[in-house]
Amino acid sequence: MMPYFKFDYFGADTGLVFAFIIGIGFGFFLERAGFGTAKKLAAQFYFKDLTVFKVMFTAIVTAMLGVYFLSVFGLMDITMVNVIDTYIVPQIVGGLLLGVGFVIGGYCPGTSVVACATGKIDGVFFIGGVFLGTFIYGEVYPLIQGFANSTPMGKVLMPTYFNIPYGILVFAVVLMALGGFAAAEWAEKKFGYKKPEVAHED
Amino acid sequence: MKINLSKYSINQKLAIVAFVLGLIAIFMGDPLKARIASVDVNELSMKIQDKSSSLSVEDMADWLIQKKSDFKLIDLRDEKIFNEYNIPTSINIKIAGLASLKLSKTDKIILYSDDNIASAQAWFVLKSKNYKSVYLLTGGINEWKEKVLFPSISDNATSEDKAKFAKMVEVSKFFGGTPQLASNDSTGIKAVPKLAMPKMTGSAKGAPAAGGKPKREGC
Amino acid sequence: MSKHLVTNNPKPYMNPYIAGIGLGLVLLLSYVIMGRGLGASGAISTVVAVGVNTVAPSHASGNTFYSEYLGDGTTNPLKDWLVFEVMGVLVGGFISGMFAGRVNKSIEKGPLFSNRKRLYFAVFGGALMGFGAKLARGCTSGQALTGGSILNLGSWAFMMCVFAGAYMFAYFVRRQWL
Repeated sequence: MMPYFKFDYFGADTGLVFAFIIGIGFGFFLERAGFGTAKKLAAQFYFKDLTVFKVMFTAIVTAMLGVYFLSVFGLMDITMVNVIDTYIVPQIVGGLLLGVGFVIGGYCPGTSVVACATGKIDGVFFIGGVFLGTFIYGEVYPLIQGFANSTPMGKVLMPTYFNIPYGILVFAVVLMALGGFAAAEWAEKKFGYKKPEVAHED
Repeated sequence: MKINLSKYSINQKLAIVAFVLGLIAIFMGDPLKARIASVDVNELSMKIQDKSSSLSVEDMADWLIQKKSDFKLIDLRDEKIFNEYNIPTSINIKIAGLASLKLSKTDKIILYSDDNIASAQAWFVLKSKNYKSVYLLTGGINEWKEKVLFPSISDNATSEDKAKFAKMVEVSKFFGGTPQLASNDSTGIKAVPKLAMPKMTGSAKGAPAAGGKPKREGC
Repeated sequence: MSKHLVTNNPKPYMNPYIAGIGLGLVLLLSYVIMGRGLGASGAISTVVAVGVNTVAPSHASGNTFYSEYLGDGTTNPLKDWLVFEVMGVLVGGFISGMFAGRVNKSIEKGPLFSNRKRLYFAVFGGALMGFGAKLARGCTSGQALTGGSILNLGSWAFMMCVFAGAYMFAYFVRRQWL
């Protein structure tokens, strides 16, 4: 039964080996998609190149369909998957800060690691910034603790919260993503770089 | 109706696959709800028979001595007697409170009570809620007192028994108990629970006392 | 502006949808094997917490944020799933970049922006991200990607806000990129 780790197929130390292997896959596809360069990432926010949106939502849809079908066929126990607790207001504020940081810094923590790996100096400085930001957070944590832990909602998935059947929500997300992709292709034609760079290897 | 796939680009094909899978998902049901109804009572009944779902008091004592903290020890007895004495690190939850228990489904949970019946009931409740590793403390608090806190040895014990007893004496002292040396009097054991109970250390209420919190898992 | 360590021209990027499926399958694999998703900022938090603990142990243990990442002392906090995963990301990124001829020492920015300013911006943006990611309990990988695919309510709210924040602020830093 999946997830294997949660059913004690192997221990935490073996898990670390898988962590490393999974990380390699993660880093590989981030770089392949072009997420190792800030220019490509930031272009998302000027409608020049919507790769970030396309890759992210394709990944979400793929994993969502995978988890859904593995679960309904009884191969995986979805209740055993880690779910991050929702603290809605701090998450909204954090999300906005992250968005602003994204367009200023040009990376997010994961992509900056890939940028480092491929020699981008700004990626190295960005990671330094993330360390700094995390340290500042740690230092001011006693002061903002109240806010950071406000509006706790526990582990809530959207099907439960909105009382929509899981399968219908899956379909809705797929539709939304496909609509988004169509819009993204249109926007790139209209606002995108007039460079042949968009020629992809299929 | 024949569809010529070659006239679609790779992106269009992928979009069609995603759409079809999404459409199928509407009719496949809810993975969150499906899990709740899938309790195999037979399998559970078999499991409780064999030893794999129980833990001896000696092992429990060993774990506590080694300061293991990867388990939750739940005392199912009444609050009053829980406060009189409980096994270190245990938390007091009644059977009725188990339904709303908020623990990770993979946490190792050990149950004990006065007897095996109450803990077996609790074991079923937790198992049917999909908790993966739930164990019964064999013999419950009484066996804990008998074997760990106040171990005794009869006069005609073999040398093997004596060696075991010597070890239990150490264990007993660790938990503040008093080993009972040779007693021919068969009522000696019955009197055991009346002996002075070790003073409880640390807070046994609410949060588990063993160590700090385990390292956080997510981002 | 950029000198290539590899002589041949960089290959074009992968079709974003194919790359997305690849990424999604890696994420799915993580769910199947470990029952958890991907992450990045958590590893940095662990390293920061360990750093603070090395310099000022009493300070770290008195702070609930740091101590959460240090654990109960039974294991080395650096022996952490996310730390190993991020080391993998470093290796995986390098492998991909190497084969595609994209490993080069460069600073990514628009043509009208000075290098020095770009690096200041990178540090400042990174700091905002580090802070925001802690408040939101995850970054783009840990929250948006991972939580998004299991339809976590908070993750979707977070994701919308990341895009909203970035689009709202993009105008003010356009000279950095365009």
